[in-house]
Amino acid sequence: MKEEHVEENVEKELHDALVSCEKCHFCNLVCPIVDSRVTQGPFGINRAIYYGLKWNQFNDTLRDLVYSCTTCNKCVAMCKKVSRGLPLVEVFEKARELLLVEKAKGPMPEQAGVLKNMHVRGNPWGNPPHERTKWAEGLDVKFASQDNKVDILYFVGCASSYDAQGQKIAKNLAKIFKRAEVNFGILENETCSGHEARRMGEIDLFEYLSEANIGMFEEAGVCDIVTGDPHGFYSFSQEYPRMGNELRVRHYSQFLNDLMDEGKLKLSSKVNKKVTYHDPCYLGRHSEVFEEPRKLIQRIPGVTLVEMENSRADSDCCGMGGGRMWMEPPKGLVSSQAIAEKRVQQALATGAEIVLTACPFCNITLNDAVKSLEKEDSITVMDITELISMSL
Amino acid sequence: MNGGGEGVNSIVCMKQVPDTESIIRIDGEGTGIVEEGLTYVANPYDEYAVEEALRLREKFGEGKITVVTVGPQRAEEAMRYFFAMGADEGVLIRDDEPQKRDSLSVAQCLAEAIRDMEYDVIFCGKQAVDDDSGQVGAMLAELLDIPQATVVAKLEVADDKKSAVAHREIEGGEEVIEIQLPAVITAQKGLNEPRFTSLREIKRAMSKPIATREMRVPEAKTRVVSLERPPERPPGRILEGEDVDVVGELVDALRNEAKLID
Repeated sequence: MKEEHVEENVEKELHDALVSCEKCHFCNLVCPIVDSRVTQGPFGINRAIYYGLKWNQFNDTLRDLVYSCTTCNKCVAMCKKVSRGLPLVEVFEKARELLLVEKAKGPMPEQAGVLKNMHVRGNPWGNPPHERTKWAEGLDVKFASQDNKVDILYFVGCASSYDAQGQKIAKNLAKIFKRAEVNFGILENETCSGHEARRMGEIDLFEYLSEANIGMFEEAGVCDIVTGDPHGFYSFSQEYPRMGNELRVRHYSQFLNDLMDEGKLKLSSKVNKKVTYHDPCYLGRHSEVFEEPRKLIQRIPGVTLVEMENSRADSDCCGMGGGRMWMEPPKGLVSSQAIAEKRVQQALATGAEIVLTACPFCNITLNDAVKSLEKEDSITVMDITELISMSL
Repeated sequence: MNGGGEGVNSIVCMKQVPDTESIIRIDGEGTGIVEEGLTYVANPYDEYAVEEALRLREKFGEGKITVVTVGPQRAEEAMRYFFAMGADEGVLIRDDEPQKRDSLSVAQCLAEAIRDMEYDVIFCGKQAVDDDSGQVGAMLAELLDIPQATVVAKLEVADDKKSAVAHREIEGGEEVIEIQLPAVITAQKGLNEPRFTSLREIKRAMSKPIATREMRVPEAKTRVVSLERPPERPPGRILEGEDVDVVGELVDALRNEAKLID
């Protein structure tokens, strides 16, 4: 009986949010997945959920639409600006939760194995858990514990632990921390932040993983966390349950600026490059960290920063958020590659040699798009840490 | 024993195995593995088995699915996962020294537990991914004196439940056989795509019943003499240089060092 009660609540919550929509369609103007169909984009998904609830019809077509959202939050920003500020992304995530938990209709077929991997192996790719800290071998990075107290816990995240490109971020950050003489460490048994599990609607898995990580934070006695993964950053600061000790969470773009302000980190070598910066959705729009990455980039001697047509709160998505990293939308819906290529075209238009980002997922996605556009000779995708490391 | 009636009753034999990405450490005696620190999961081939049982029940509209396992208490966890997928109940044949058993002793236990149950089909994975013996399903069929189809990639059960057509993967091709039911079917990858199970569903399945059976586990007739790790793979080699220049070098290495091409 209790469970049915929960389900009713979710459905009512969704219904109440959806009926408050003013139907102005302005959200569609900024959505990365809107193409030519009325069913696409935030307004289409919104209506699809509304009718799904109304007729008690939860089928694969509805699932495909609900899971097509990149959760970039641009529609929400637009709705706040011109209408009643409907939290569309939260609504879609709630709908995914309903489909997955109550209707046995989620996630997308390709995401099933990804969620199982997160559960059993603590990372979406199903890589061996014991290889998670392999990137740090030979770099003299310590494991945080009660006996090995650290001031800063560096939360690496799945992509920077396992992906070759992502590992560069971890290695460069370790190098930068060492140079600034930061007493930092990583968790020996770090596990997935669970951020993407929540995006895919697997709320219980998110809770399971967040409890595991919080348990380790508490056990190691850490309350100051720095991460290079905006997804983890967002979850830690806005979605994780409160710990006994107040948790301070910073993205490295904030932390490195703090180190420079305190005079602990100095950049000396000139890097004469014209660069542009891509705001990761979960660092920018979702967490409103727009200025710190730019300030950090401009502190690198020799660097010229130019902005893309859409930047800061108007920045465009790389296409891989919201669990789309692990699925290909069905035919007729906008492909992730098309979204990423559009963003790379904007970067190319600035004439910058480098497109910088501050998220391992954006890094992977934009890099793939540069390759598919055959523009490797014109532009390089880099994390800000790579440029900083060149300037040390 | 044939289930009869309208629905279809299935038994799924399951083994809880270490996750294939776990670090396997050989114990001090060199004949077993250290269980401490291992993550255990349901044998992946058994997931195809339970999924097929679920689909069969969906086809016939009703029926009971019973999961049977031989193993220690922890094997219940894997069983709960199958319950979450839709299986109804479980039988745990309690064995606290699973490493001392061989395929025959496990098959004998399963046969004893299953003999008096009602079933139309017994599903097993084609092998367990820990010891890769692949013998239990076949032995079980012999002990129960019923037909068997092993390494099945496609199964069609007749509407009267008296027979089935099984597509078996054989070397270089496919063998299609007709088989009388009840029978043992061992599942190969590709038989189906196991459904997703949420954590909530696993929690909900906590109330499904597991009957624990104590029985004398027959003595193993084989004994592990030694276990060895596979030799470390030699590191790969990256050929340096411009794309075109290194092609000749690569072809030469593939032909003369790796002997992969003539």
